[in-house]
Amino acid sequence: MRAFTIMAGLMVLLVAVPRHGDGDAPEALPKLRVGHVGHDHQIALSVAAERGRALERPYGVWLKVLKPQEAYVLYDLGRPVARITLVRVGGGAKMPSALAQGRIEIGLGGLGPVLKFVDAGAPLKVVAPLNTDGDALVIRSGLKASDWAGFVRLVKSSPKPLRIGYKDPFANAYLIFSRALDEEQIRHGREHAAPDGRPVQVITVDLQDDENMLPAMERGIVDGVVANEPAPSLLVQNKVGSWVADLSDLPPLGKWRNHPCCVVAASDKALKQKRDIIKSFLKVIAAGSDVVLRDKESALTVEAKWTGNAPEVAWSSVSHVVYVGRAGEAWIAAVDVWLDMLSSSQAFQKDLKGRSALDIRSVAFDLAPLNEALAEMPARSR
Amino acid sequence: MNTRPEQRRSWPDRLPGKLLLGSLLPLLVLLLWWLGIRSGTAVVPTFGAVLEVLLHPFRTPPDLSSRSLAFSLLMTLLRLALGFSLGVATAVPLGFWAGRSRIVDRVLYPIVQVSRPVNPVVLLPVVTVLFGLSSVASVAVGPLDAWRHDVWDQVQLAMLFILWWGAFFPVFMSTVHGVRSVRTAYLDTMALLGATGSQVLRKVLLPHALPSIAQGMRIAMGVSWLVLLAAEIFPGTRSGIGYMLCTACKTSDYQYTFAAVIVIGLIGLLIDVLFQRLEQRAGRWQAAER
Repeated sequence: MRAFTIMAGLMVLLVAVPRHGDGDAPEALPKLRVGHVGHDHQIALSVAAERGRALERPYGVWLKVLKPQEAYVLYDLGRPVARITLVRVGGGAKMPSALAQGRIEIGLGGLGPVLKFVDAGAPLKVVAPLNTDGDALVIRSGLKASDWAGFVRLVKSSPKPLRIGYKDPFANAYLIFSRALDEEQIRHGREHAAPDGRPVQVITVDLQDDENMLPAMERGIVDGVVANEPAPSLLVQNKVGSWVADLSDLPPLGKWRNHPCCVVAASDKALKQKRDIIKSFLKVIAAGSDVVLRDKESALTVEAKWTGNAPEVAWSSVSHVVYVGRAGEAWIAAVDVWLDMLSSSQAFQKDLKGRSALDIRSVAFDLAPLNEALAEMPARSR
Repeated sequence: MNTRPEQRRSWPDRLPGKLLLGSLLPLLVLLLWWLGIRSGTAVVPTFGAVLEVLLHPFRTPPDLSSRSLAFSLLMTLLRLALGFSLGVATAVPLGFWAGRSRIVDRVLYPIVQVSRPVNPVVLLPVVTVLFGLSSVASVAVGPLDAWRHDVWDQVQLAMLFILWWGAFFPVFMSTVHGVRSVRTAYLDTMALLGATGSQVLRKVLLPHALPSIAQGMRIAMGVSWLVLLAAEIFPGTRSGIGYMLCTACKTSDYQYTFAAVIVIGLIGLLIDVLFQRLEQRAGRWQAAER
């Protein structure tokens, strides 16, 4: 009985007595909800999260784990600045949709879907780049083409149209692929006949999601797919398909090199109310990108851990993606090419309709927090 | 004295009363929407923007990668009609057979009871593997002109299969129940009168089972409608109300999402009213008997 009383007393003391530094307790910190897709385009975040305190010395920021892959405390210059909650919101429009609905305050996702939401009036801004390139064409094993020229020959000599799957009509891979087919004067479309009544040479099949690609290829439902990593590497490693081309190399030659893929976007409300926290978070992303570029081995380990992909898939996938932590001139120029292409594809119908790339950037991008964050980071990390 | 039932109905049971009472809540929702969302947000469009889509059903959405609302609806209804008809056409004869024969019943009972609770939507990956992108056009006999090919090519066999699945079990179960509920006295009397099997079917079994079959068909139609909208995000789909809804979410063209939701609701209501009528008509003789 006495032992029980002592134990109970101790427990009451533990709960009731205020602890030193309660203001630093995660519960007392401001919160930042971060949405992400969970694939390897966003490895900068996962690498930073896994590196923990090792980031502090070179970059001044780090993430302390509260719950792996879910909750962290963000430290900047030795002080805890926010409690970060990571939310897997899904790819495509799901991230900007979650941002527009206020379910997350900042998110990592594709540039195209973010811009579609800005066009529709969502109060969002692109605040940082994450990666470029990383889209590929893979065809069914057994079909004879090992590069783009071979694929064009295969299409032109095939008695039947080739079926090529994609995941989304606004996916980078589909947009580049369809323009490259135009460039090669290959008739293509979702129907068997082109608008002029002639049969198409490539039927594009909306597979709705990355996850449908492997079974669709395996069962011969499609002859190939155009997709972003890690889907192409997954197909090749599973011996379901063979690699044909990196879509950045498709015609018009050079146009698609460095094409922007994932970005960091934030809601206008968060940018106004939590600007300093966002700046600290962007430092983490920049630090994570740096680590990926400098230490690919550890990035691969993290990729396999966070995505569940096999190491060889991770290796192939990460090798094809270009990670970008800074909004440099090359990235901005590639963004402008992309914005012009989206505009000419009638992708924008509302707020961004008819605007020039420069104009769209002034409305949909706010890179000031990133630039300020990078300026504040220790010199060796910049 | 033969009083018509309509004359005894109170106002909520008459058509104008039904319409008035039934439209109160939807109108309230529309009013709240109209008042609440005056300028539209990225995820909730204005009522006007949605109305614009509904009033121009033949207009092809400029950036949606989807066909017009009218064509989408046509494709959805075509798939529904085919899949549902296949389900009914197979469930009713099998149901009669199982209802009349113990052996057939014993053979079918385990497979039916195992398969019945399986939601057809979860079968999508399996049927994708089984049927691939094969469509009615790919199995059609004889040449099809371009537009017929375009339409039939979008009625995929995989979709028809899961629609069949959704429709078959409710109709089958209700047919078996309808056949078994026929009073044996009627069957004995028919046998005593020397009626043939076909006469027993036409004069006794079918009229008795019809109300139950109609009830099963109403349930099956509800299931098929739900299943179809989920099936329209099947890989390779390129039209249909479900496809439009899903694509509009991907491209943040939510006015089409909301328009599709309204169309789905209205068509669902219309179908239910039609089947309710069918059910009432099929059971009219039973009501008179009571």
